Amino acid sequence: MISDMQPVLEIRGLRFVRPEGFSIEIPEFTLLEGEQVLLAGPSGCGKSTLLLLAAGLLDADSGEIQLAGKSMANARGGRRDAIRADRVGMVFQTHHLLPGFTARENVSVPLLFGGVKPAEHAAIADALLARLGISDPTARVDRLSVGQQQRVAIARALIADPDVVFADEPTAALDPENAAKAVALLKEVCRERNAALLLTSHDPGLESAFSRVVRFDELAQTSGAVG
Amino acid sequence: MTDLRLILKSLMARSASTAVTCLLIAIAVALLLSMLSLREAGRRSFTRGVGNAHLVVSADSSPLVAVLNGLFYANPPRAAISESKVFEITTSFPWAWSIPTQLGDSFRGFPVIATTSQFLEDFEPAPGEPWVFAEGRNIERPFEVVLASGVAAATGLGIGDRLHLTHGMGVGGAPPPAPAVEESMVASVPGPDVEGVVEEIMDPHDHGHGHVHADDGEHVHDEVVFDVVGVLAPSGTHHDRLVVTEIQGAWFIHAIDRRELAGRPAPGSVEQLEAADRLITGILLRTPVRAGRNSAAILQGAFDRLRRDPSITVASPSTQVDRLFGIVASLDAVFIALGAGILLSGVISVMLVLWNSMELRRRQIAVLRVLGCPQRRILGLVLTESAIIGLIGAIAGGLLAVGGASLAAGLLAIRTGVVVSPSVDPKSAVLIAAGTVALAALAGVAPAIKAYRTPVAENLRPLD
Repeated sequence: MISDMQPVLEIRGLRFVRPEGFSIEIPEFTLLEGEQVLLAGPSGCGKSTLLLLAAGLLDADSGEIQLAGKSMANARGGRRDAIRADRVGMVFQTHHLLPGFTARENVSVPLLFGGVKPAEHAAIADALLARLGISDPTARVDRLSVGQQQRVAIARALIADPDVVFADEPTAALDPENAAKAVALLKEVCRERNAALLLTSHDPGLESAFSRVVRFDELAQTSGAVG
Repeated sequence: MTDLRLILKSLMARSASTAVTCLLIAIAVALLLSMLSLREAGRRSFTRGVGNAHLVVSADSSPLVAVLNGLFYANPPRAAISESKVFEITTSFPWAWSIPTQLGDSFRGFPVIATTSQFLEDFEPAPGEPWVFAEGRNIERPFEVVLASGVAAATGLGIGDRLHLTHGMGVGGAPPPAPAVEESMVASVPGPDVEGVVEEIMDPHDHGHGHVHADDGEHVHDEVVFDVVGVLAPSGTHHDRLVVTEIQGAWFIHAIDRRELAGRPAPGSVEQLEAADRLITGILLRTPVRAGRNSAAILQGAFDRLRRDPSITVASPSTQVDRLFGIVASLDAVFIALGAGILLSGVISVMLVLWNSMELRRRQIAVLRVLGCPQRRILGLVLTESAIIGLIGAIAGGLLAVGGASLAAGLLAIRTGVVVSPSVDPKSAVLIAAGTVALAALAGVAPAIKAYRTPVAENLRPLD
């Protein structure tokens, strides 16, 4: 079944070197449409760097990154931002929600940059927040519990119907039970919205939740410290 | 969600620094607008306040001083005009009217003009707007006074009240000049029959029994009481601070002082006044004009002839007001430059506040970039935020200016009697507001570039 699907992320011959000496090389990596993959590896090994490269937030020195059929390596500036706005959702360990903004406003931001009419934002955001168990979309995010904040972050990553969600250590701050629940929810919602999921984690306990686990040290060659 | 909402939320999240920055801009804008509006209003008020007098004659040292003293009651004139000169001036030309005045007394700090009833009949406090009596009548006899509206309002006095005048022009004022007149001619100044009145109103022992005294600390002419016989309606000029009294009564009270100093008995009535008592410090003159006009072709000729006389100073009030504003124009420029400097410092503070906030907002900017916000849009968001601070400051400054100018105008009216109607010229207001917004946006350029260059990856690392 999966083999019939198109790749949503393709990386070939990627090389990235930081000025301070850390380098990462990835000969090849493919993530298919709707596929859910755990990228496992210890903290500081370069997993986050890979996600930032894939999302076009860092410039590779060489190689090719195709995101939903579009070359991120060749795209520059606004074009790359547009591809990211349309195709990628991101979830972070510390959520990175906008403080002082409501849940609805946080979730609506990708719609703003994705060109959706402002009048439609509230309805779209509220529906997804309700699906994720946030009953009051007007609540300020800094007044929500950590679990609720994470669900708002998941909603924000999925609101623009991305082709792929990059989740960078989303469970690092959670206990094992809540970590399992959060991953289950993220996988479930990604599946519902037909978004592929590439989740990084240093927690071996999550491996059982994924049918495909890629070990970072088998995927990439690195040297130096991430810093 | 819209860009504007994103910006406003961001500003509200830093409400304290936003408020302070907006306030700085508002103060600068308010200062600039107030200066512009008060300058124009002041000019209008001064121009209007010269009334319908074509010329002012006095023995002051310069035409400008003659106008400031004779029409704006700044100080009593330094010297009197000789009787023969008064006669010569008033009879040598077919004036529409000539009104003698004597300045030098005050009541509770309000200037007293001793003159004839003509002052309230022919002289107009604003061109084309004669005096109007709110109640009562004109002065007809010595020892009668008519209060202008500002005096009546400030003192609460009205018809039937009695008062003493004070020697000198109140705080900072000086007494009227010493006699320097010749005999005879001043008697030509028209005056009512006052026989029998003086004994009735002389009351040297009465210090407060139903009489209103002037300020303590001044020399009060408490030998004679003056009756309020009329109250004027507001004219909207500085003349609303006047106490108008009949000139022979003023001569009389000064004659008492002078004779007391000389060890002579006080005069018993105005009939016993001597030529030395009859002091004129100024003459207001108007040439005949055709209906609907305020100046005459013959005015220049009359002016030139009077100007040749070295014993007097003749001044055209409107010309002197123009001169005065010409002199203070450089001071205006200094104040406007000061306002512009404050505006500039406000704008620099906008830059500093935004610059510092960029340090604190690097993570937020990085998150916006992750969510698909292009770098150029980040640039635009910060510039717009800066411009909005300028706009809020400009609007608040405009409101502050209206309130501030009204307050300043009120204080000016109370302290000087100069009534100004401050109004912000719409064109100036729009220009200043647009300039403020543009400057504020310009102040946002450096912070915006800083935001534009914010490295995304570095700022997404988890906080420790």
